Amino acid sequence: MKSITRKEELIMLAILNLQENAYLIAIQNYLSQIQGKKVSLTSIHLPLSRLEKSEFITSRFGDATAVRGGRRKKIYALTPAGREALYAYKKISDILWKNYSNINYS
Amino acid sequence: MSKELRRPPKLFPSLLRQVIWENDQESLPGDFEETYHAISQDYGMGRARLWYLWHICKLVPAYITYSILWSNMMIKNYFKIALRIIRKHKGYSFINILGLAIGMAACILIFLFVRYELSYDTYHANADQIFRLERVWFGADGSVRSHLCSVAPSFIPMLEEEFPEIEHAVRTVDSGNTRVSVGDKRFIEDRFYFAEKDIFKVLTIPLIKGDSATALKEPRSLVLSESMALKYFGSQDPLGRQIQVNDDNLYHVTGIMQDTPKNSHVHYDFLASYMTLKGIYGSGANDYFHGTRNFSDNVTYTYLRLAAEADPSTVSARIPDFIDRILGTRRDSDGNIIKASQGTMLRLRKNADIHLYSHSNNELEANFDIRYVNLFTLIAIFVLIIACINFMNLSTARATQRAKEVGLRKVVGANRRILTTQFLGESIFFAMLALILALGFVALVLPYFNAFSGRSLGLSYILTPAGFLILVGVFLTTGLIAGIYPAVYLSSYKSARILRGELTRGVKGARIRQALVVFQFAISICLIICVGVVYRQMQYLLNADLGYDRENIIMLPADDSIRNNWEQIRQNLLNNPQILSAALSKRAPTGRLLDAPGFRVEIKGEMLNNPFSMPHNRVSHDFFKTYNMKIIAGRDFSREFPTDINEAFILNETAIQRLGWKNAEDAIGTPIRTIAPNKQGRIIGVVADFNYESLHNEIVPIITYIQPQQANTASIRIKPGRLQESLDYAKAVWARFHPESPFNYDFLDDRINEQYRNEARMMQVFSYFSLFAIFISCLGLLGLAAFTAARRTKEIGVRKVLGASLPHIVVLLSRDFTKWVFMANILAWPVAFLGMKNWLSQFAYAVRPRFMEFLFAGILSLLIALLTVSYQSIKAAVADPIDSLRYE
Repeated sequence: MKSITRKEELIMLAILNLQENAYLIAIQNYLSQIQGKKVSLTSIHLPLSRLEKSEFITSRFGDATAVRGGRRKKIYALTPAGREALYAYKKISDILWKNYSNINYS
Repeated sequence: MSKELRRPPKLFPSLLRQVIWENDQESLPGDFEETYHAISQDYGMGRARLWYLWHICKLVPAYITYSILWSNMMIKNYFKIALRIIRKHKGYSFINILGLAIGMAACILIFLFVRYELSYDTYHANADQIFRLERVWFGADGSVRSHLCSVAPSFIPMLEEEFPEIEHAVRTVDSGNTRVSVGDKRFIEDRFYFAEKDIFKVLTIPLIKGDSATALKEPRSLVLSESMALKYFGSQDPLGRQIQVNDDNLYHVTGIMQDTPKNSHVHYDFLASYMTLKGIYGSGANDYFHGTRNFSDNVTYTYLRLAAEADPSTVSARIPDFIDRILGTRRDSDGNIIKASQGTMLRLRKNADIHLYSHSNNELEANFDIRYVNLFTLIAIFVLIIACINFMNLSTARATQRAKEVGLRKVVGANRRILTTQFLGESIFFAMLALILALGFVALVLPYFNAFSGRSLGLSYILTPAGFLILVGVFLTTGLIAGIYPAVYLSSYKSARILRGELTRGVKGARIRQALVVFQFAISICLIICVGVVYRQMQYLLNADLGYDRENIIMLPADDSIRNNWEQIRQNLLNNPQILSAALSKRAPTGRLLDAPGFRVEIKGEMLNNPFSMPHNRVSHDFFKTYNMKIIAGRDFSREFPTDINEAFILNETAIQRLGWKNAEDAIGTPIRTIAPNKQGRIIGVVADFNYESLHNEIVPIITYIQPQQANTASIRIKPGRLQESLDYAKAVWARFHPESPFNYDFLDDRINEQYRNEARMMQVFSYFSLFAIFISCLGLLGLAAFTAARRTKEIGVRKVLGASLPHIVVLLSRDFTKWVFMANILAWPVAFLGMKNWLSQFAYAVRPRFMEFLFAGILSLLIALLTVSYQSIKAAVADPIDSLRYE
């Protein structure tokens, strides 16, 4: 199973949180807000296409708005494989954090 | 916050579309637009625009890597398909690649040739600063009357004094045929030159042995070329050895130079020191070569090297003044002052320009012409374009067969761009195969081409980076040009319609293709007509009545030992009944009539100033008899009139007419006087006009008188038959009076044929080109025929079912082509007529283009076209109608 990067983890988590509104700009804004610094469009877009290619996320077309020049949004959602990869990542982080706190408190 | 929508300029989204992949085409521009709107509201429009553009740029690297990855995968597939196509349609692929290969080969060959021609004399260091001095004479109307690429020796020291820009000036003298011997090795050498010692500072001629500063300093020192050193001395060291030149002169070898590169306008085998010539004719100020008074014998080929910063045009601008000071002014008969510079002038010719631009009357070796170089370049481009067009035609014609492939590819998701890339890639692949084949052709043809053109082209240039780049460029552009139309055309198929079996008919392109075939055929027809006319002109040139009998005359060079013993030699020759007549002359037919001394004609005691110049020929008795020239009035020179030797003149018919006599008889006995040499006498006869020079030139007035002391050609008429016997006899006589010189004779008719060598070559070039053009246009026609036949498969099937006969269908399919060939003829005839008229105008005597030649070319082209088409039409006509109707 392919593993994911930290960036990809963040993006996938953002997709989970945004649910029906998980399209490029929304993800960008959401991550910028949470991290407190501007995240660039390309730094989201490229991991997104990579994730889509490795079939961790899927996409469908959403509604079009005037501000988008009448173009439809591409809404992303996690696939089961994506969830699995995300959980695997979380598991590893958790173990690592746990081990570290054990050191701290023992 | 304003509610107004901020939209980016229209250009931006379309730019963006170029760098994003298929599945982002819809959403990403929308995302961009949204962000654009947000940024323009927060920071203003300018910032938003910058952001948009910047992000387009940021997407480029990703796009490139992505497409490379993607295409890598697809290329394998394309390659496989291309190979399968070649394997499946062997004949078609072979013809298509062959056509392109031949076009490319012609192009490469011409390219190599043009490059070689442009490289002449560029190998000299400071090639830009080297000039040759030339001399021209002007007629009364200011036109150039005569143009020599050599000048009189006395100009040079004065020029050097006058023009500080001249760093070095070297005079060279062509020694002509020179007898050279070392021990028992004796040969006649014709690349023997005298040169001033500074020649090595002007021209880049590296010395292998010897010191270039002193090698040509002393009289009778001699520098040999490498190959000559090998020829005369073999493996021995020639330095310091002696060489015998022309009977009794011993020269010391003081240096060995590298052989002159082939791409040079002059080639030196021997360079003897110019000082050798000092005092040979005259002395002091009258010294022929070193004196200060010789402005009329233009025998020294002079090369100058100007200082690096000197401007040749300012030097040229000061020359008229210089000429006037040296040669002075004179008054004409009306008392007007005439400056010397109005009559003659020195000119600078860039050394590197000589080969392509210089056409003076006495070039050392045959030059070429820049106009031909340009013409060839044009032809090369043209040929390549036509080959591309054919490739395009054939590919498009096959398109119908690949429609299903296109349809399927589209269904599984190929877009137009992908298909275009595939077909372009395919045609580039074909072009690469063609290039490899073309290089093979060039390598094969090059030796023949070199023999034919007298050049030494090599393929080695192709291996240099520049040459390689050019080649790759050629095949890439060829592939692109040839592939773009089929690619666009094929990818435009609508998949649904194809898969339902409705082939796109491609009628829109048919017109263009027809026009191209007509155009190609027009060119072929033009060339066929040219071959016909040039051939007939050649026949005319070689067989025209020249006013003398060209058969059975041998010509020999004559020098002092021949001239001084001429009477004895002649008697000896005539003792053999096989030898009919022999004569000496200064100029013999097939030569040039260069010098024209002033002359005056005195009619009834009154001197006429003559408006035209009259070349003269100095001959011995029997000159006219030897050549079988007809005396139409008066008499020939005769030994019975001893005064003939000093005061008899024979003029030709043209001269008589130009002087105003209607009847040649009237001129007989008229007093006449030539000015240089000063000779007085009477017209004793008039000779019928004869073509002294080649038929390019009109017959000019000629004056002939006896003065065999100046002659340098002996002409001998022998009886037809028993040729070898007569030659052996003449050789024996020659050997008796002139043991040192070899008996190298020419036949007059050979020399006449030699005059038309250019035309003979032209004829060959035309023949090759017309073959080539016919081949190319047949290819085009084949493509079109295949296309038409495929398009009408169903129609033919229906016709056959309804009872059409085979000939009927063949005629049906061939009718259109006949029409196009007719159109090509209509286009070609006027062009060929004008072109040939122009070509023939360089001859004073020429045939006229005949209707027969045009008709012949027309019929020939029709036959060839029908033959080409018949294969396709018969194939279509005999095809089983079941097959053609079943493909629904």
